Amino acid sequence: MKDINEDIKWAQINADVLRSMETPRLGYWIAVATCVAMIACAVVAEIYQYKHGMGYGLLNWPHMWDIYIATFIFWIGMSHSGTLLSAILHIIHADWRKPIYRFAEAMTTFSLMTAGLFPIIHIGRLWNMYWVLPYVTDRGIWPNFRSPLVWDAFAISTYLTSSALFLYIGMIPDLAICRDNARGWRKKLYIALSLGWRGDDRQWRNFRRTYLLMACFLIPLAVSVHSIVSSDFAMSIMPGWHVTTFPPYFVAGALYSGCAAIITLFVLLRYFFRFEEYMTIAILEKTCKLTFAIAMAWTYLNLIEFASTWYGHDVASKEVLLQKFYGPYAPFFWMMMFCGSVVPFTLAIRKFRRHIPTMFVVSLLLNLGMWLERWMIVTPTLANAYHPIAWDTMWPGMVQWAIVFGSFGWFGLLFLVFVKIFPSVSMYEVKEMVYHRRGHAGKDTEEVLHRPVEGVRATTGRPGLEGA
Amino acid sequence: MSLQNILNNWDKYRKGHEAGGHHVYEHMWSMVIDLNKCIGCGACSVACYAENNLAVVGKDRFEKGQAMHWLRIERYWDEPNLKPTASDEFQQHGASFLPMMCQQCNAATCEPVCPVAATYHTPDGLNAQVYNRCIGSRYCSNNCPYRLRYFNFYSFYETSWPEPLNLQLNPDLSVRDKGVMEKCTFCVQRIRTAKDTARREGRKVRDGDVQTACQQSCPTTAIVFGDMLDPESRVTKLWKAHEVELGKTAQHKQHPEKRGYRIFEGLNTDPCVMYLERVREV
Amino acid sequence: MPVNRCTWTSRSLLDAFRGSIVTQIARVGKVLVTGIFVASTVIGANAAVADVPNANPPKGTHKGEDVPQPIEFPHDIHAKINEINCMYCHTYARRSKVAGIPPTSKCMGCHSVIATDRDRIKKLTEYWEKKEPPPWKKVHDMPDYVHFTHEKHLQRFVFNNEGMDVTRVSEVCAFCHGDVKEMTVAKKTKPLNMGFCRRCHEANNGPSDCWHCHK
Repeated sequence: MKDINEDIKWAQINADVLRSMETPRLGYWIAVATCVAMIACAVVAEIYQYKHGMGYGLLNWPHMWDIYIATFIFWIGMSHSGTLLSAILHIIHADWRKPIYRFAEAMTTFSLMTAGLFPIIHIGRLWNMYWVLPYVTDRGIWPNFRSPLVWDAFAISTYLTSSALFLYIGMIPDLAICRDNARGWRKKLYIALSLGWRGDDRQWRNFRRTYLLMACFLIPLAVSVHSIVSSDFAMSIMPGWHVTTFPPYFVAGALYSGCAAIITLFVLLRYFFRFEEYMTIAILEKTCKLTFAIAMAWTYLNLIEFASTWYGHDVASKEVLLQKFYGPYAPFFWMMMFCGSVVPFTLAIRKFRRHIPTMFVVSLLLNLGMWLERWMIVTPTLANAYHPIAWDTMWPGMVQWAIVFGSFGWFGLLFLVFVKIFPSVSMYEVKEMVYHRRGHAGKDTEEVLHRPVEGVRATTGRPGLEGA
Repeated sequence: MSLQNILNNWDKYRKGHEAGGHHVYEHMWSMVIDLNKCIGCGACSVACYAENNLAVVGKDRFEKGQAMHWLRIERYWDEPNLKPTASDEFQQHGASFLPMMCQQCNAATCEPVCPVAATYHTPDGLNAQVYNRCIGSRYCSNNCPYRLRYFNFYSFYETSWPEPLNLQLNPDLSVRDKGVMEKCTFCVQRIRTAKDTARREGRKVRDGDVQTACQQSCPTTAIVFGDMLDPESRVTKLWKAHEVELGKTAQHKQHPEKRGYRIFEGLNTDPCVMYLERVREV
Repeated sequence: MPVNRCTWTSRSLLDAFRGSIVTQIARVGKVLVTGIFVASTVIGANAAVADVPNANPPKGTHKGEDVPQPIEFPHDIHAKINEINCMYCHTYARRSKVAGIPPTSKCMGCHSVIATDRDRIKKLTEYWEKKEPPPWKKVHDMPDYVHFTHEKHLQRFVFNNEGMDVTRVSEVCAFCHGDVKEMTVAKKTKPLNMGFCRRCHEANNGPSDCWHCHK
């Protein structure tokens, strides 16, 4: 089974991808309307919360944090998929990522844009949010650099900037193709965005170098971002949070939920944009295998966390763990274990892996499990920490649910806008992939419209722009 | 001027933290609570409400866990020989009480996690909370093993003191708006006043100059408050008598009558409140 | 010394790493910044602040709004022409947190005989006869979360200040209140924000602990 149809014409690639960006049909507008409605829910809830205080989400003492923070980690986690696919797999030359990395990268940026909202939403006086940044003031006060929340602010803003840049840089050659095929306001937009891309040697050389550099920069950044997010918990002294393995555990969870989200969006894009030629079953299978591997790593880290708590003889941590097992939150905990550790075994079975509706459902279940995982990190600890007088079970109120619900709408809306303005499949990289595969298969390369480039090894190839 | 100050300030900040913060204390305010004397009347809690402009949240919000009691009386039915009967939720007698206010830890867990340094350690050994700096990330409360930090979930001041009750508000203390964390301050406004008075009179603060509201209102004088750096103060003597020391994670006592202990000492938070264990019939 | 010469480069590099990057920037910045400040100080210099000994008055100005008062109290006539000490009327300044608005009786102490034919005094007398205080408006107001005491500042700059004469107290008042002597109705001419306070505290070695001023 080949990853991609190697006989595909390059003009066909351009046509297919550009078709996905054409004037949207009714279904698209319905999706947009749904997302806007979801956002409206959140906005109403947020305005209410802003005016009247945090209490209406039923946050209480001792549950000072709840599903806001859980959802924040969830979205940050989801953002790791794009980096995994585009940066890590780019560096290890796994070229099957090429048809699907673009939307994964967009997902990275948009989920970060969603995640970044949550710390702002969850703080009590959000109009003073900027105080966590070390800005110049004559008052002589600084943020507390020892606080993981300040590290969060730095990490997330850095990650958002660089992943947005990475997404944009990777799109420049494609934007040039769009520019050459567009009319009206789109033409103006693409002229501005493609930065005068002509596809000449110097540009390609610089482009490759920048792209690789950004990829190398992003990998440690992505790992550190989620490690820093995990230190929000690991740096505290609360039982169930003060866990040494949290950084790798969080990173594994992040890659896990990111991959699951990639499968979801893969299925959706493939279906709605008829991208069967590019998002092939073979690529889906590879993504599923990758997800399965990460799922097992996550399960392993989960189990060693339990084991270290169990054998650690810290009474409070053990109590929290036992409360997770059979306390009031136990149904959610077991659902998380089921979704996170049992459901991924469907990914190990070839028959399921190749069945797209199954994969869609499975990917949603995996993400549900991942969301529950974050909730089960935040809440049971607050419910059963050291001081028994503060043991409490709390269920989030409507305000919290509405905002969490709306965040999915916000993400969806950003994504919907993206797929209609930007090519969601990387045209030049797909061509590159086809070229490579074809070259290795020993077929003639006459079809290649681009002259060979001196000084560059033949294997690297220089597929460029159609009709540019 | 300003920018230069900022740079100097940064310089100082950096050096201060290289040196591990300030360890030269002017005072070390601390407390002793004799649980043997505590009758659980709640007068201290009420006094705290009156002194510190604490919002009265009402029954509904109290049940939701959104109350603002800086000093809470915890009840434990832990008498070994008295078990509640099946008909009672709680047994009729045999409760023991634990008044809990901010323990003013010297190695406070809430301080390092605050993103904007709204909570920090003062040279008085107090764990300060600067309300107007707080942005309400609530991390400090999450990281407090005693759960002694309370959050303004609503604009309580709008409903808590209807006219003319607003005239009872203490002007030495701000009235907190929504979105701000707050906690026991050891009545810092009283400490401030006592220090100002002492300074005006050209002397040091004497033991007994500062009385916290809870101490003042305790009918059985279960609460003693004072400066640990003053060797003659009552707290110093009590801490010594019960062989409890600051800066330790466990106290080693030989004699059973030395009843002093600090809560969760093992977590190395180094609290400044010593409790004297209740004497029980064996 | 030869040792020093050969390690010159590495020394300075080491120094560069020893201080953080920020300090390095700070060092360069200080030169630039000082220049700007010299310029801005000259422009923003307030003529009213004469040289109070042992004091670095805070810098900064504020465009004051006119606060309509029930009676347009002429500070200039009292403090400048008649040279009445500020603390004669604002009598609590030296011993409490607030400076205090004088009671009407204090006004009437003089104005039952002096300048009784003026409109403003007639208005004052009306209030006096109605036994009502004039509803003065607060011009210099501090937020609820700020703890400010006049007493401590006056102790520091006037009473415990060597070489300072109590008759010159208005110069100290002018640190924060501007040159009230030149005003009729008092106006807020200093920003009275945290930066303003901090600059003065830095310059005069005032306390920098948050809880000194925030409550």
